[in-house]
Amino acid sequence: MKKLAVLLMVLFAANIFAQEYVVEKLSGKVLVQKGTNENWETVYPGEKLNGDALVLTDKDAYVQLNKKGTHFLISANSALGLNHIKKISTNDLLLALAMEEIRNVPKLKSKGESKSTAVYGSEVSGKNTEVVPENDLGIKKLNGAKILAENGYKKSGVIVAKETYRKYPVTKKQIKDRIYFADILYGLGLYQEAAAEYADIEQQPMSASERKIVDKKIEEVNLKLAK
Amino acid sequence: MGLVIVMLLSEMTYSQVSFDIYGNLPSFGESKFRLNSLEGNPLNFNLTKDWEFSLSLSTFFSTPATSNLHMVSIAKRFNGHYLYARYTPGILRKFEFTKAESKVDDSLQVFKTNLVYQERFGFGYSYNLTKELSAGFSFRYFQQDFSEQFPEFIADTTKQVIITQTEEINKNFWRGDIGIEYIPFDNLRLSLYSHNFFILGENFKNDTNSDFEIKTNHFDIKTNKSAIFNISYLPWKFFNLNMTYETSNSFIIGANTGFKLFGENLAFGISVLHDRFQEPTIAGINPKLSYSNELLSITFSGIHYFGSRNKTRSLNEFRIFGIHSLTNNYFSNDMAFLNFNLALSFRPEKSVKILDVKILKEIYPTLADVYLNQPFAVAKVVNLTNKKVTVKPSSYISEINKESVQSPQVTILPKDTLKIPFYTIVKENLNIQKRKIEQVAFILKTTNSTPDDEIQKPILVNDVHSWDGNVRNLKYFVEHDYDFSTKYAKKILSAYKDSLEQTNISVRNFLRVKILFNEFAKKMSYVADRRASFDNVQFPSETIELKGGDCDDLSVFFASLLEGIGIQTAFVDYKPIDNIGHVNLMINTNLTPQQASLITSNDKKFIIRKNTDGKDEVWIPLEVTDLTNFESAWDTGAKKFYEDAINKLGLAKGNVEIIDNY
Repeated sequence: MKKLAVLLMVLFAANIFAQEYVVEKLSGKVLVQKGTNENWETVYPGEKLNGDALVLTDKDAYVQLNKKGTHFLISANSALGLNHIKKISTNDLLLALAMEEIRNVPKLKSKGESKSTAVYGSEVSGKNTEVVPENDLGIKKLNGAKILAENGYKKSGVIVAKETYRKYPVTKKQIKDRIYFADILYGLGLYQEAAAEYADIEQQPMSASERKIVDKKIEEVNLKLAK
Repeated sequence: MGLVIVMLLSEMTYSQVSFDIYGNLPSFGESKFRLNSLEGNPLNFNLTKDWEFSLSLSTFFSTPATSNLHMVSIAKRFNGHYLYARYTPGILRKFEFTKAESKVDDSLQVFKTNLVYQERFGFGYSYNLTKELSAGFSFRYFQQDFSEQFPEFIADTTKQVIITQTEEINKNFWRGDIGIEYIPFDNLRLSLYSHNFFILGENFKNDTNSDFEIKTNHFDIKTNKSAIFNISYLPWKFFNLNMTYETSNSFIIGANTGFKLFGENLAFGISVLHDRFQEPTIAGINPKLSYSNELLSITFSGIHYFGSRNKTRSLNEFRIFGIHSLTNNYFSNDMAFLNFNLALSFRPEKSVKILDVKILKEIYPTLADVYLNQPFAVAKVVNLTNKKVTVKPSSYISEINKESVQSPQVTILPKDTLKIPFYTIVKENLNIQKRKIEQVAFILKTTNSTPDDEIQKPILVNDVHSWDGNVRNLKYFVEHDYDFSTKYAKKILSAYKDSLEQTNISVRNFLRVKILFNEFAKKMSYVADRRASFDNVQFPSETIELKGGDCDDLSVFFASLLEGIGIQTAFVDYKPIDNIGHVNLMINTNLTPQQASLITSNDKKFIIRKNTDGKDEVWIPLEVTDLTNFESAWDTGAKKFYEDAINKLGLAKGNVEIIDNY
C-alpha cells in the first residue's frame, strides 16, 4: 500500500539545485531567470548562481562562470540552464530521449480530447491568429546547447537541444544546428536515434544543399543500421 | 493367493457365471454410465462419479416370449467409496417337470415338480485404494422355492383312491464375492474375482435320504467355488478387446468399438462364449449396442445359443447339470435374449476440477472497471478427461454482483492443468460503508448444464472510500461525482463569465484552471488521511463538504472539477521513497508550444506532451496541496516535476509517472 503524504517542506528543504557557480566576469547584457521565477534579472560579477538558473546572454555579450576552479564560458546570444553543465552517461542520454515518448498522452481512446471541446463549445482553433510571435529564446537555448557540446558536454547538449525543439518549435527549422546534434548521436554510435533525428529533419523545409546533406546522412546511417 | 489355489482345485463349474446382461461394454467416448452389473462385475468396481439410477427390462424369446422388469439399481460414489444396490425381479427362472403315475383303472395321473429360482436383490461396495488399485465385494440374496407333488393312496371298501399331495420347501441363501481391479495403464484393466466365495443359507438343510427329491441338493443352485479373471485392453482409443476366463475353463472373448455421433456416444461389440460343458465349442454369441449422452444410456444386448435349446429336458438332466447361473445356464433353452436398459445419472460426471483458487485482489467497490480488465482471482484447474475441454468459468460475490459473472472461456488439453482467471462486475451504486469478508463462489461449467466443480473462498470487500494505493485507479474516484463537479465548476465560472469572454480564447482554459484553483484554495485545507493504516479517498462532493483532504483527496477533487468542464488532467505519481509517495496534477492548457509564452516566460513551468492526434500541447504541473494560490501551486508543482521527473530522469526511470485521467 502506497502511503501518500505531502511533506512539501521536507521535499524542498534540501537545495535541489545545489550546484553553485560564481560569475567571474561578464560583458554586455547578461540576464538570469532563477528557478520558476517569471522575471529576468541582471547578472553581476561575483554573483553566485544555482543550478536552477537559466543564464541568457545578449548579442555581443558573454559571461564566464567558475565552479570550484573550473571555468565555463557562455558566449553571446545564448541561453543555458546551469544544471545542464554536467557529464552524463550514454544510458542517461537514452533515458532522456525515451522520456519524450513517455510523457506523451498514450494513444488510446481520446476521451479527454472530445471533452475539451464539448462542454463550452468554443473550439480552440489551430489556425488561431493570436499565436505569440517567436522570440529568440529558443535560438539562444539552441546556441547554449551547442556551447555545451563544444565544451565536451555533448550528451547534455543533445538533451537540451531536443527539449528546445519541443518547447520552441521554431528551432526545429534550424537545419544546420539540427544536423550538428544528429551528428553527435551518430558519433556516439546511437544510429537508431540518429536515424530518427535525420528523418525528422528531412520533414522540415530546407535548401537544396541542406537536403543533399541530410539525404547523404540518412544513407550513411541506414548503412550502419543495415550491418 | 490361497483363495485362488483353493478355487482352482475345486470342482469345475459348467457355464459362464460371469455373463452379464450388459455384455461388458467398455466406456467408450467418456460414457458416464455403469455398463455392467454384479454378474460381470461382482467386485463392484466402477468409475461413476455420483448418483446413478438404472432400470433394466428383459425379453426372453422363449416360448412364449415374456417381458419383465429385470432390474432396478441405484449407485452412489462418496469420494473413493462406491456403493451399489439392486432389486432384481427379472432374475427369475421357473422350471416345471411332470411325471405320471398309473391309477388302478389304468388311467394316468400327472404329478408336477416345480422349481423356482430367483435372485431378489444385491449390494456392492468397492473402494479405490489407489488410483490404480481397487477392491470390492458384493452380496446377493437368492430365493429357491421348490414344490413336489406326490400320490397318496387311500383305500376304502370298494376301491383304492389316489389323491395328490404337495410337499414344499424354501432354500434361500446369501452369496458373497470379493475381487480386485488393477489399472496399470489407461488402456489396460485387469480384474480378479471370486464366484461363490461364501454361501450363507437360511433354510439350507439338505436331506440326502429324503423321499422328496426337493429336500436333497439335486436341484439347488450350484455353489461351487471358482475364480474369474478379466482383461480389458484398448489398443486404440475406440477399440477394445475383452476376455473373461473362468477357472472352469469357460471363457468369453469380445471385441468392442465406439465413436461419437453428433457429440454423443455410440458403442457396439460382439462376444462369443465358450462353455466347457455346452455344445458346440462356441456355445453362444452376445451382440450389444449402447448409446449414451449426458443423461441417459441405452444398451441393447442379447444372447443367441448355437446349440438346440428348444427340446424338452428331463428331470434327470436337471439333476446332472443343475443351475449355476440364473442368467446363463444349460437350460437357458435356446433362448434369444434381448436386454434393454435405461440409466439416468442425477449429476453428470465432472470433466474438470478446481485444484486451488488464489485471490489476487481485494475488492474495492469504487474501482469497478479494474475487475473487468484484471482478474481478481485465478484458479488452478485440471482437465480430468482424455479430450479437450472448453471451460466456462464464472463467479459470484453476493454483495458485489447482481448475478453470476462469466469470465472468458478457456480450453484445457486432455489431463492438462491450467490457471483460469476470474473477472467480476461490480454492480452500480454500491454503497458499502464498512469493509467485510464475503464468500466468492467460483464455478466451472463445461458441456453440462450443472457445474462441474464449485468452490467457495473468502474475499475482503472494502468500503466505497477504500483505495488500493494505485494512482492509476484514482480516476474512479474522479469519475464518481462528475455531475456534481460539473455543476460546481460551472457555478464558480459563471461569476467570471465576463472576464473569461474578454480573454484571449487560447488561454481561456488556463484561466479557468486558475479561477477554479483560487476558489478551491480559499475553501480547502490540507488534512492528513484520517485512517493511517490504509488509504481512504473522499469523493469530490465529500471533499467539499469536509472542506479539505489529503493529497489524493484534493487531487481527485480538483481533477474532477476540471474534467467535469472538459479540461484534461493527469495524475503525477511520485513513487514512494522511504515509503513516502506523493501525487499531484498535470493539466492540459490546450496551448501550443508557440503559445506557451502567453502564460509564462519560464519554460521550466510547463512540459510539452503530444496528444493522441500527434499535436504538441502545453501541460502545466500543479501542486494541489499548496493552497496559497494558483501561482504558488503551479510554481511548487513545476519545481518538483522539473527536478524529480526531468533532471533526475524520473520519468524514464519509472520513479515518476504521468497517469492520464481517462
